[in-house]
Amino acid sequence: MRKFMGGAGAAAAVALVAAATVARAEDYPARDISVVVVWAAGGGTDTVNRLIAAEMQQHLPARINVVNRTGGVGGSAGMSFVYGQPADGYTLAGISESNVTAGVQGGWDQRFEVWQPFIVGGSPDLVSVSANAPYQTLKELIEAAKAKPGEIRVGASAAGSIHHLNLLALEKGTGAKFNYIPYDGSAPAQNAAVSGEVAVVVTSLAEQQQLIRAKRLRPLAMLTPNAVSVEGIGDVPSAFADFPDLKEHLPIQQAIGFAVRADAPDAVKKTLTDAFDKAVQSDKVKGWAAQNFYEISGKSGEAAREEFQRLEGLFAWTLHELGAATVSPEKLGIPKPAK
Amino acid sequence: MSRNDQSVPGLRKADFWTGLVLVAISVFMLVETLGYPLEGSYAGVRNAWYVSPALLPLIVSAFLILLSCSLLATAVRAGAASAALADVTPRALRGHAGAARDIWIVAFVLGGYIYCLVPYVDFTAATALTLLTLAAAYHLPTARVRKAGLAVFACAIAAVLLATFAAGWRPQPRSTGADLRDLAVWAAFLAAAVSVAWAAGAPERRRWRRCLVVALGTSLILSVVFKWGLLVPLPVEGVTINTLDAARRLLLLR
Amino acid sequence: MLMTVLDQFGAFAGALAGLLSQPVSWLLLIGASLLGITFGALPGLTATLGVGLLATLTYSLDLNMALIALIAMYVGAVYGGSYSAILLNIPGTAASAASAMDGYPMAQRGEAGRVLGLTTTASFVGTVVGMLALVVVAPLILELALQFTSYEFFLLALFGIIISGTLQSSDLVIKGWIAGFLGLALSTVGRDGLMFFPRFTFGVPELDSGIEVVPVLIGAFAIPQIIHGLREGDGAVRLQAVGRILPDIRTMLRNLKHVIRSAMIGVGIGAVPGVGEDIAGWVSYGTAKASSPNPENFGKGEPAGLISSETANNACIGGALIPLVTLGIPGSPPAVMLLGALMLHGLTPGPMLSIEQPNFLVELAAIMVLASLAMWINGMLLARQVVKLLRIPPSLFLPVVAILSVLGSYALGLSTFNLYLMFAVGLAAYFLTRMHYPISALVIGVILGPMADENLRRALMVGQGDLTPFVTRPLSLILVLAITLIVLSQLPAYRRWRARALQRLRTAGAGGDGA
Repeated sequence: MRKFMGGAGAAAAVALVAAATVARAEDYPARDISVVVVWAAGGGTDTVNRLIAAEMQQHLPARINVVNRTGGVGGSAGMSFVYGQPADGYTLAGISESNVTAGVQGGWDQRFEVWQPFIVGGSPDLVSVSANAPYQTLKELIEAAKAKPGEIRVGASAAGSIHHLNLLALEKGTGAKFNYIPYDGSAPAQNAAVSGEVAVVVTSLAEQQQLIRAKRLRPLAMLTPNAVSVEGIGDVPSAFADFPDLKEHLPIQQAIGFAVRADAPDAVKKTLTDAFDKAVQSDKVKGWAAQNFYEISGKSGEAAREEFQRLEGLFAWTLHELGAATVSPEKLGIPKPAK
Repeated sequence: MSRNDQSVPGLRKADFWTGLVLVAISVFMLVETLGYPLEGSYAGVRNAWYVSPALLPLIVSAFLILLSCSLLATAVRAGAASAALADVTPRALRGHAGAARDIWIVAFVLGGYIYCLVPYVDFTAATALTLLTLAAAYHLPTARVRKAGLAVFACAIAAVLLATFAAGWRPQPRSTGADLRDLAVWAAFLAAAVSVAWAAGAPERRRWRRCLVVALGTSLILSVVFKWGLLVPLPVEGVTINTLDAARRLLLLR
Repeated sequence: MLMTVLDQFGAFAGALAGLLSQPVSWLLLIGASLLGITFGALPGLTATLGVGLLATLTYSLDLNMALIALIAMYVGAVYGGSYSAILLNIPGTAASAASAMDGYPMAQRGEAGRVLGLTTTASFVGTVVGMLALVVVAPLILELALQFTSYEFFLLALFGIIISGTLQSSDLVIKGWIAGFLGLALSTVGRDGLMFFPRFTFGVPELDSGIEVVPVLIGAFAIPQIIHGLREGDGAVRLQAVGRILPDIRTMLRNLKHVIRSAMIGVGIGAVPGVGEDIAGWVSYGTAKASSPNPENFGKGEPAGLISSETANNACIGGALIPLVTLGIPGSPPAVMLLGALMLHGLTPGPMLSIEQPNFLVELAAIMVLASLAMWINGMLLARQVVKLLRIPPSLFLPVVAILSVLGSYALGLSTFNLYLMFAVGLAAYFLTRMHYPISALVIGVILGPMADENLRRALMVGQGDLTPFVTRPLSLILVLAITLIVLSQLPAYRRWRARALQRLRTAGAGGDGA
């Protein structure tokens, strides 16, 4: 008897599920969406995704939950998981520019073009020095570095990270040679500059702003085309002004946002794009970006795909040249970036 | 853990074997480490012996080799080597396996749950089945009950593995095949409940009911709390969670 | 000077009254604190995860309310880990692993009620001291914490690792060292933090990001305990006399020097960026053991050991907030999440905070006091009920613990690989425990391995192989001396000398410290 009832219950359950899961792409979203952030909770990618998700769900008839699925190479654990889910737009990946390295580092065998990214934005990188360092301008620093090649210690997050790439570009564009000391993230690198373990640090303005305002770090130059004004400190000039050659290698900017599988239905992508556009334009996001020195990009569709394609080529080939790529970018079919 | 569940000669015998295993592990570690770069530069970082990624593994493996050799030496000096080798007879091994029965039961059930059920089938169903098997094996402790529960559990694992294998290891979630597999696990749960009840007999009905309540209650409560309360998605959200979700949406009219 | 202190106090009382005048804040406070304690007590659910959850749930609340919920959760979660550590010998978080060392043996003696009361009070005192440090001496501590370079980070890690060697096995002394080195060996798996070079990954992508602490912690403690408990059967359960749950002020006072020292260690380690509650608990425990006249009692149910680790891990919270609110640098892993949560609410902690919102620090202090009070009241009320859980027959209770361990290992990174890891480590830990290896030493190795590895190499890289900064930098020198002292305290000859010296002091009429 018990068994029979169980069977009947199960049959009813199946019917219910079948009814519930026959959802058409036009009805999207018919249930909650989850954003799987591939980096750890509390970091930049996580915070941006929580913010944008909270804003986007106000324009959608469903909740957006943000979870973190970390691990693997270049966030490959989270990306593989999302890629293994159906392309129905109910599971999105919270990503940043650093995920493009997953392929060449052997994390997975896909190129980034399997994703349709939505780029919220990122914070520009800059060069700063310890408060008691003798260098007042970027020019002074570069001259000192040229006088003693490979002596001046520069802190940045781990090898192959975006800040490391910015440092490499700075070296290429100015001809100076530094002693690169890697750290496990931007925060420890900045702390090392404050404590004097390194003289120079290359991270993003969002990460440095509080230390700059506290006068623990002195900003020398932005690694982007425009000068940026920091309250209480004044203008931080662009490095391009003194070293126009940098234009060939920079800017390399963060691209934080989320992505849906590229083979998701167009209707799903359109719904997401509409909500995304509205969220990016909201006062809350704009205010947050201004306060934290993020530059809002708001790219979606083809523009976002192109941006990531450029980043993929840049990261993959740089790692390859440094001998730190396990898989050759050629093998993955990643074209070499044009200079 | 009680402090004296092994005699000193027993410990020395165990030390002999662990010593051998540890030597093997640490020598392997050392050999692996020797292949790591000690100079030049890697990923744009200037290398030297004191910066090399090999530094800590070298220190650790060297110490481990020393320590495990010392462990071996203590065991040999205590005369454990011959005793340990004399242990490797079929009869002695059978005796050991019998003594370690509980380890094998727990390892089998938990291992089956973690390696064969959790990654592939509905979390709620898998948890209910596992809880019932484990609780029945220890809360109704007769050999008959234990065997009945474990047999059903083993069959369920085999079925799930076969079905998953047939689906090519990476089945699409939310497909009819996946739903059927989840239902099969629920069927296994019912089968386990019935066979355990039959094996335990009428006098143990109360304990049986307790096991059932714990298994069903815990698995449902945990699934609901983690999924909707703590917003932690479950490893596989199959037929149970989807049904609950559908019911929730019908009730909330969303 | 006096005026500013009085002003501060007035502002503090005002903030307190303001918060308490709203019934919603009461509800949030008690609710978040309870949720935090539950998070801490369940293996694998950590303070970081809890703060992350509340960051999302409090998005629509105003900042003060959100802060109440977040801080109450943080304080509760750090404290809650001790429940499972004491009652089951399965630490709910890495921060309370050291509490299991003496808490569990004490509970085994039938003093579970008293032990929980003691833990609750120690955690309360720790949190309040942390809060005081945050308000009163933050600038001073900050300057010290910012002196930490790779040299000091390495020595701090070494300090913890040496402690693992002092966790003696009841069988052979070398077994403690073997367990510690096995932990270090596990910690080297994955990309190294300096060059990103893959070590022992064998091409498996899941191994690339290294071995996570949480699954190792759960496997190492929970699995052996589950197998053992099921093996013993229901007959072996010792019924706990719940008794009266008392704050046990007398024991606290008797161990006052441990309380003070541990609180200071907790605040200090909390303030050092990136080093958190787990390390604070162990360092404080190890220091207490090394400085105690009878270190052989540690690990067998010594209240001083429990008090030291519990005071320190909660004091760590206030410490971790010091660099967070003054420079925007989170001092511990949960503080990283807290920073993210605050930024979501449009508040960027840092030097401008004291100018833009001069009352923020005082409000934060008021919230911390409320949070620790809520934790204390919840704890005192909960303890009695929690002890009753032990009356459930293990044959029904332990399978549920097993499932919770599985979910806990999964929850942090949502990776099934962590489940496999947890189970494999668990089985190995079961056999190691049976052979009398101190399994905590292995866990310490896994926690501290990467920190020691990276910072030693970075220190040498900065100094180009030069070792002298280890003794010429003042902070380094202090740490080197502390390490030497710990090693010395393990030597019988030194212990005899110290006992004689103390004896002489006492007979000379100095009174002694009575501990």
